[in-house]
Amino acid sequence: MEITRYPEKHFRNEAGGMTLLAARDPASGELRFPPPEFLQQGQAAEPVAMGAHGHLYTFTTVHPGKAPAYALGMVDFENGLRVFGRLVWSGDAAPAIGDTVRTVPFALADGTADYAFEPVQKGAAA
Amino acid sequence: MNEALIAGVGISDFGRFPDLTEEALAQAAILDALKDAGVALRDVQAFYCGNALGGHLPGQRALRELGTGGEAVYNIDNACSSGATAFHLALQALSAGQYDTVLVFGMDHLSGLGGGALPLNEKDWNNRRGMIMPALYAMRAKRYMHEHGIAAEVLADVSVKNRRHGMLNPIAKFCREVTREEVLASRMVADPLTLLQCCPGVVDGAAALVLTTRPTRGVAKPVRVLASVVQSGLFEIHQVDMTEAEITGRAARLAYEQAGLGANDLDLIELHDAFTVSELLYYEALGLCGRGEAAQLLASGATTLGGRIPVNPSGGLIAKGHPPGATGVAQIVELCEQLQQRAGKRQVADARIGLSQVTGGGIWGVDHAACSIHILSV
Repeated sequence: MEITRYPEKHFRNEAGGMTLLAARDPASGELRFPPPEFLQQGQAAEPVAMGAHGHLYTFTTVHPGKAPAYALGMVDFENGLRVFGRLVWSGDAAPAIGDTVRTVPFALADGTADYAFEPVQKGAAA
Repeated sequence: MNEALIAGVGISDFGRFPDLTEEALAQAAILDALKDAGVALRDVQAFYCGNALGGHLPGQRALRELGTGGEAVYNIDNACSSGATAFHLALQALSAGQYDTVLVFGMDHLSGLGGGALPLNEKDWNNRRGMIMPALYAMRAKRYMHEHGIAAEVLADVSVKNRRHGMLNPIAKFCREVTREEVLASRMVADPLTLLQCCPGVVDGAAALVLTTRPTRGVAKPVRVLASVVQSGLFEIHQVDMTEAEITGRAARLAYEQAGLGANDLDLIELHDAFTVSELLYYEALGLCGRGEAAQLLASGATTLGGRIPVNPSGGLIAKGHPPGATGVAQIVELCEQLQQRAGKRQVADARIGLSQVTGGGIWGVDHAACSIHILSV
């Protein structure tokens, strides 16, 4: 048995903001997100930045009853990958299919540092 | 080798029974199926149990007090496709000559789970980030509506149709008739899906089938299995079309090939309408209409009782509820009763060929982890 834990995280904080990190198989060039949790039999993978922005393919707002509503979406990146994640839209603004989004820090319910997507305001630097 | 036939069917009431157990519901369905088949319990050589949420050894728990003789019990968990997968495996064993008479049953008891969406694996990448099944289908619905200009009223009409069918089904104890306005005004679960566009979250039930290669002596004419398909989802991390039910389309092609027929030859369908949008997507994946044409098909009345190809004459999951281990078997029970012309007020006239379709999901990276399609005839 030869199992190695993939050592890289799935995001990186940079001066310009957060970026997601896909994993690339150096042999095939194939990309995936989320990265593999484990590598089998000498398999290799290296982190690749996903790019600053993506576009909202679809979304929904979940209304769990007594708990606060939250929004989820599928975001398409230029590298061909689609990423599922939480959406953080401020105030009364509502997501729309095709919206340009960027990756921002977000904490999972258990406090683990993670990512979410927020809209890039029209006119803002992309 | 004789052909494997469905010799008898049984089904419990589908409703909220917090004072009962899944074992008791399964026993009721099993005893009904044996009686319907004219088969004694001692003549059953193996048992196949579909169960998704009941924990360890569900089949043995259901059977131990019936007095079985230590025959093999196979427990199958394939999420919502558990029961249909159990049926598929039972057919394989009969076809291989391993047994000549077996019993398939499915069961789940959601009353004990506290309500809400079906529980999913909390370690899953998507589920950790808030995914629940209604949200996944809501995202499909949102995109489908965007691409094809579909109004929310179209989704609501699926619920109205299936609950109208369900009112004709005596086992659908939780069903009530609703209007389009009521559906749209019900509590939002995951935009655009309102509560009455989702199958009820807390329904218990069980269903059973007796299969045999022996001469049958059941109450009704035995039912043939023209196709039995189980498929698994592809690992998809790229920008696939979420409005294409790929696994259902793939399974349907295999089933039609096995049966030597096509969508136009079907007289009725029982499909996995866990959410209203699911039914529309599956019209297209099963080949009842082209991409983007499901709304027109629904509006035409073709999929309503009395129409060209009634879909979910039982009321489907939306009307009956969805105890996931039982659903696939319950669909086959409905097809049998329809093909045997004993479906009462919901009878599809002159039904001769029926198709059942059930999926199973809840893990990231896979557009439905499982799908099973069966085509039956008399």
